[in-house]
Amino acid sequence: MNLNYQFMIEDIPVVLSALPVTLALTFVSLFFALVVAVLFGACILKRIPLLRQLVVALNTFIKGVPLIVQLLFCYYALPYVLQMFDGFFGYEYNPRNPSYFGFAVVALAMNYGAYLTDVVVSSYRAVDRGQLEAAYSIGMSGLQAHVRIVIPQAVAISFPNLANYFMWLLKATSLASVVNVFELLATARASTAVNYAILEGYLVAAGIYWVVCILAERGLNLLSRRMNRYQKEPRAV
Amino acid sequence: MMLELKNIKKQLGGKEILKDVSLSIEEGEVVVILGPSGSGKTTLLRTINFLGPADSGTVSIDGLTVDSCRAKRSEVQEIRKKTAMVFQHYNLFRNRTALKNVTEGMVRVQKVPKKEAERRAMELLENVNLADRANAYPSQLSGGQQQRVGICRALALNPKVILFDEPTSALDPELVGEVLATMRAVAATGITMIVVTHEISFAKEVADRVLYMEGGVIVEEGVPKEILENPKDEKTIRFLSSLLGEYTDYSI
Repeated sequence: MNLNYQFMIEDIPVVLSALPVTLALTFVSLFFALVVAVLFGACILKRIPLLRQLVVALNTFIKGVPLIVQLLFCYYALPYVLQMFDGFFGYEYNPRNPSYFGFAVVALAMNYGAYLTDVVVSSYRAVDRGQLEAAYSIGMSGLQAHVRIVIPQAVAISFPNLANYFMWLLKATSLASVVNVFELLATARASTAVNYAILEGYLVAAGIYWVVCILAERGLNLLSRRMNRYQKEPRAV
Repeated sequence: MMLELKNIKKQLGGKEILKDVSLSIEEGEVVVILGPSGSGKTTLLRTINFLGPADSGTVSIDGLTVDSCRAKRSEVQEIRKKTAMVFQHYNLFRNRTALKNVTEGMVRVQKVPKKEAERRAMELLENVNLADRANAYPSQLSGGQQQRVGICRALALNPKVILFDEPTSALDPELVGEVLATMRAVAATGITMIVVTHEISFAKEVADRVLYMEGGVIVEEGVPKEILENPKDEKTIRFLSSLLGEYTDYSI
């Protein structure tokens, strides 16, 4: 097999130029996934009738359908939804310029939100109730007890899991290349249109994903150790 | 009267745990509650600071009377500011150092300036010989050390009443002594204490009054000497003899 090394080296900066899109897609999706997970998790933890059942049913559905299907669904369905809102609150739907990035964020955030709900619920439950009682016993309010005692520990406990999902999500954003988002993989493929060095283009993309993931893992590891410094032994990521 | 409970009733899971318990405690009194497991000792203690409010009955502490079933959030908060609790499993905030466990309530609830709170916390930790462990996290402390920090956390708030919920029963035997010694010192300061425990010797030495509970009622009460050495009720006699190791003989 003869790889075009010359092209691969030249291709690195081209593909790298799309890294910000991949990172943006990752972080924006993760942010909204966390928002979804916290809201869903609260419904489950607070045992809110109806909402709780709804969340559980929705989550099993989301987990049971492939992410790529959800991405395609959002890609084709969301324009219709947006169209319906045309004219509301001064919103103007522009069919010529749909936000493919936004559609992908919706799909990724819902998909990862469903999985992160479990992380939120289990981490919250992992903080023993005794500390909440102790906080109440010294006169702290429910809000104070949660913000100062329970949630920081739940976050620290959830962190290794969150880090894992972050890495998965980072790579899962490559699926968005199918739905018209010019992130890293789509850019790599497009860059090979000139000479059909498709394998080389994908190898460059793979290399960049790999390096980014290694760096991310290192960073997250350090962060996790720092957050769990109150534990006897730091939790492994 | 420092603390008064009137007609406290509570059910848990359809079972009557407290059957109309009334109790009044003078300022500075040290009351020890004895009784077998399931007798409602801990449940009674938790109705006082509303961690597990009673179904009916009133709680009065230091002039504030609150109806258990109609307690407003603000009233519960007031009651909790007048009391403090020491837990069986210490329940220290695991993400805070020993020092911060003690200052947390002072700074966040009583709004004491941070510097002032830390000075007072260090003083308390020094009193229990833990000044050198002030910056250790609970996971780095032994059970006995954690419980002493727990006692400091309770004392820091200058409560009117301290509730001790089996403070030594989760400890290794060799660590019980240091915690009991700390509690003796607390009692000597004249603070009102209610202690649920199985430590008969502590009751004998430190208590002003001993209550014996069984089946959700106070079976017998009196000065320690009277209850511990000369119990009148059949149930108390049976409980004390089993505690003193006079077990029924089993053959296996």
